Amino acid sequence: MSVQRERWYDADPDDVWATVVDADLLAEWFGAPVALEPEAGGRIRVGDDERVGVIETWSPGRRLEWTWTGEGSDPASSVRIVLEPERGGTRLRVVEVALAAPAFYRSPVGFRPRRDGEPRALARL
Amino acid sequence: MPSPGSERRLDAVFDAIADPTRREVVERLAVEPASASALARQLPVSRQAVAKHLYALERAGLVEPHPAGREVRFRLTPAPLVNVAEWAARVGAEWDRRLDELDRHLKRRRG
Repeated sequence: MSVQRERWYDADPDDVWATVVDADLLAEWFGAPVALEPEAGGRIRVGDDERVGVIETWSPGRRLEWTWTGEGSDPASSVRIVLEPERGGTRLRVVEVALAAPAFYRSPVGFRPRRDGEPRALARL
Repeated sequence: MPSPGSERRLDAVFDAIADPTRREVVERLAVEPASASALARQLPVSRQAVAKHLYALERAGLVEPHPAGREVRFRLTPAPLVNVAEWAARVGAEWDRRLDELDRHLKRRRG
């Protein structure tokens, strides 16, 4: 289950990258201040941990990937942003993949690590 | 301040994606459940390696085994989460908006 979008920007990949990882833009993108540790394995946190994730790839000017852990009725998902020079500007492609099986009903949980001993919530029809 | 719940989720996800093969396993199971053998046929690793990854993912609470006839298949836990059409529509609209916002920021930057 994935969504893909792409756009060409009249700017070079380094400028697009710098703008993407800028705090002001990220706050607009995700609706709250975003803290991120700019490296593979770093954390990305939105607001008061409304959303949290782990950065997998941090390649300035080229590729940014991270995985959200999933929150409430939002499934976990991986986001991949790839920048390529094109016609004097930059082609940006973004793919977001849900890490969940598709279904016709909802469950209010994201990942539930077994080790915390919480009962698993039942899916609701 | 990060909550203990979000730290556990982060650790679980970190376990899942720390290894590129493990991440590949998670992405394939997101499409459909599969046995270790079926996964090993699709990936450039041995069945034993796939089994180790599945075990680590199971311990992190990300996958669960279930019997399917004579074999054991693995699927992401919890079981199905979202309506595909709703998720895709919402996330697609979010990215359309974000890419517009990026365009505005880039234009401002150029001055």
